[in-house]
Amino acid sequence: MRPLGILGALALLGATLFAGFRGAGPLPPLGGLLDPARGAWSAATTGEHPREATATIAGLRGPVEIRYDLRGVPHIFAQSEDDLFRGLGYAVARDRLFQLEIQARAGAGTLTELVGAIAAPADSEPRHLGLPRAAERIWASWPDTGVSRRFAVAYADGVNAWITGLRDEDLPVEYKLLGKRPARWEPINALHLAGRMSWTLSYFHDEQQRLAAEGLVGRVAAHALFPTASPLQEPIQPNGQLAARIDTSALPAPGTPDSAILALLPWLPRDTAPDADAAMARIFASNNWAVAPARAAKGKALLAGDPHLELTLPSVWFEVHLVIPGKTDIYGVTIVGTPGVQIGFSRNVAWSMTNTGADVVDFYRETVDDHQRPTRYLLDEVWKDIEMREEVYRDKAGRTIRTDTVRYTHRGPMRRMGSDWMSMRWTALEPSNLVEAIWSAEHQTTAPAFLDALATGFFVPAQNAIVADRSGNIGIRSTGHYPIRPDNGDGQVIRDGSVSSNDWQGFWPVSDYPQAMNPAQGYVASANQQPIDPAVQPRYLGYDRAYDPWRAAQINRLLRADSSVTADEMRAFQTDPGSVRADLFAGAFQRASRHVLASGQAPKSLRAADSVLAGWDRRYTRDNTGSALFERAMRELVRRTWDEFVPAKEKDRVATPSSAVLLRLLGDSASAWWDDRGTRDRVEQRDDILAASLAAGFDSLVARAGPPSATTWAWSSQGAAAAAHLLRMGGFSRRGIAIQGGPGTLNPSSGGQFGSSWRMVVELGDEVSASGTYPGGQSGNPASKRYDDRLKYWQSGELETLYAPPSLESVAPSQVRAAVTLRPGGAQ
Amino acid sequence: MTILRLVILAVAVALGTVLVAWWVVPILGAVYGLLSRKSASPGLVAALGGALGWGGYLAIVSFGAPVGEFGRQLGEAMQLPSWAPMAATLLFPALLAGPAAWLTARVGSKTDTKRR
Repeated sequence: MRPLGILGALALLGATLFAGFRGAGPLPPLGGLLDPARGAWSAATTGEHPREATATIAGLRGPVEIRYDLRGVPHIFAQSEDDLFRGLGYAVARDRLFQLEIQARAGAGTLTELVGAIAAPADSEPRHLGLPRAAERIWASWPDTGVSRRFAVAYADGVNAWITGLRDEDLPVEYKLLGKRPARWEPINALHLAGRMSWTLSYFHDEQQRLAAEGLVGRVAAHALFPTASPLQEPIQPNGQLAARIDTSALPAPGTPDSAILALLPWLPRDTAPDADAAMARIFASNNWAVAPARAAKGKALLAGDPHLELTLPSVWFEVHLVIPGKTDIYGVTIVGTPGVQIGFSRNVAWSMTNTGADVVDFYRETVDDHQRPTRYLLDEVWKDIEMREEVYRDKAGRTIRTDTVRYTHRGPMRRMGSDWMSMRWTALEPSNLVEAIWSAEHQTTAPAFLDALATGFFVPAQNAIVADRSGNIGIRSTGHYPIRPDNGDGQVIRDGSVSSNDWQGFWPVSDYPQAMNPAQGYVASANQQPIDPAVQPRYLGYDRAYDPWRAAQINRLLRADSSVTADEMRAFQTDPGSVRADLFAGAFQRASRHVLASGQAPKSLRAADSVLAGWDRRYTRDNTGSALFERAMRELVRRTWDEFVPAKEKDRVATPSSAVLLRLLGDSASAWWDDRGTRDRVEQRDDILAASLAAGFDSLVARAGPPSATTWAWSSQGAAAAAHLLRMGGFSRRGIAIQGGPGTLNPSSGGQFGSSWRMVVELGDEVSASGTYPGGQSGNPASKRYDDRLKYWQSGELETLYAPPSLESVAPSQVRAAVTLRPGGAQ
Repeated sequence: MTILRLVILAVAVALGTVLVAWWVVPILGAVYGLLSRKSASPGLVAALGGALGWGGYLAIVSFGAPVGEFGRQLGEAMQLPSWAPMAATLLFPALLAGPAAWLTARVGSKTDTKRR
């Protein structure tokens, strides 16, 4: 017994030590993880920065002072630009170190090195899109002494200074759970992040959807239902209208299917979203607007910024204030990992961005020498070598776990589709200089100068940049590189790659960009709508499905009705629950249901549904009981109307026209599109489908939430926003955030993980006053009070006053929570 | 007397962890086992001392830090019950100190017997 007992104790001790040093299975080393002083628990003890700290950064030319205010915002005071960005890198790393690394790796396609082989599919996508290669090429194109490279290097110095001095207890808990240490920050990571952002904001291509539609309903119908011009025009560049213009002309009927295209259908993606707008509205729902002094209550220019992105914890944004005495005084938000403030204000100008949604991705069908393993492609009757790039994926220990070969033509990366090889050209893979362009723009003193400076290097992702200045100018310009295609053609076709004449011919001149400066209407606004009315400028910029006209219609409606706008109204507009979409479609549902009810052949639940809809105020407030019914009816309407796009023997549509096209269809009560293909004995018309959709929406809601009630039918119980942790860890995520707003409103964040990522209102005059908030908090530490302390403001639509002292001397001691002094020294 | 030894060991475990690292726990357990080889159940006392050392440390820092709330979040983040991280944090030092103490107590006793 005794030897057995000793062996047992030895085995137990040995196993525990092994788990402590090496981990067990998926678990990281338990010693480091569970150590109460330095392990995961130390997150709880390091949630707040110490009152005072000092650190050294190699290469620093002078001291940098950082003061954290009561909201956790670092105010960074430096004597030179490079030192300022060293300070910024240090401050960002101090609060968001894990986020820095995981987001950069997501752009570089190296997540496997941080989280293991499970991330290989996620890493594969950016590599096959050519993003890491593009980052390397853009980095090489930046001159050593240029602003972009200098700032990226200085920023990296700051990040690495924090990493070098990192104590075990300060290591973010995510690293401890993964059993990893932070990698050294490379300056090129700024470009990996930019690539990741371009991927989110500019990688739109409707070629495949329209092609699929063409296969099912013929070319004429497909082009009418997937148009380049939105049927609802409320453009960014004012077109002189006093209201949104709606095209209600008849659409061509479904045509003959194209069997050649149908053969390609197995390779084309399925459209599983309930409606075409649903997916877009969740992701791209940014708003911005500016009001001229003549329409503002205080006679000063007002600007509201409200970019929407994926809601994460920590947030994509980090709030900062950058000061170089006499030169720089910029307050705003920075995308974690990028050297600059992307949205914010100075003493002279305030600016914000929304996504333009331009079509900057084109595909070419290449002629290759070998369909299995091509090495050459044909161009103008000459065989050209295909560039082969080996992509190596490594695990957490650095071992190779997979290799891929990505092929490139002169246009960009190649992909196989069926038996064809396609190459892709995309502006995100080409040189730009956005760091320098933004930095230069932020230092301008007038709105026109701001926009001109931005246009010099900000090419992708194209953004609707809005600006106001202290003199009262307001302006907007859709800034980015827009390709000029052969014959001024559109970008929704797959071109023949064997001739160079099909390549892009250049880019639009800035003078042709959609834009406006001090328009007569007294305000400018953008909300991801079609930037310019095709009746004014017919040149192709993008296509209808990439735009959302509804929020633009709503903000224009609000601003037209208000000739004495206050900053608080600007704030309230950001979460306004009204919807032009609801007004137009709810009216159509009601007219149809009354018509069908009068006929005596109404579905059983139509009367009850009609009664609920009649009492609905068409607003998406949290306790509203009509919104849920309307949205279910809309889904039913889309499903029943566009059944032509479900291939035989399948369940999902291959493509879905936009809701603006659906609105256009409402004008033709007897269109062939209304007919339900499932009923062979009758031909349905508009009102039949609308009434049936309303009744079916009611039935499905009753099945899910019971009979109409103030609680179970409340909009807040039908969907809520969620902010997921970067590793999707439940305990570090926040879910069930009930908010005001829904599809088509200015705050369509309910029911998803996309939403308003930063809200800001700025009033410019002799003094600048600003307020803002974002969903999350400044700290990336889940145990910190500042991890999610702003969520409550964000949820209720409130904004916090932003504190922006112009100099170190003017910082009020009562406003300081913590201080850091950075001094030259230490190893690089 | 046992309680006093338990408290002294717990304090040593907490201080050793803070000042050195987690792996000091089995060393302290082994030393305790050797010194207390003639007392009753040195392995059990050492295991309790290890758990008390880490648990006591967390209890003290919880006066100024959200240890309990963070433990709940951590458990959920790891898809475990909310009490699991704390339980693991108490069990781990116990499994380090206990067997180490038991082994050295046995070896020490055997040596004593041989000397006699």
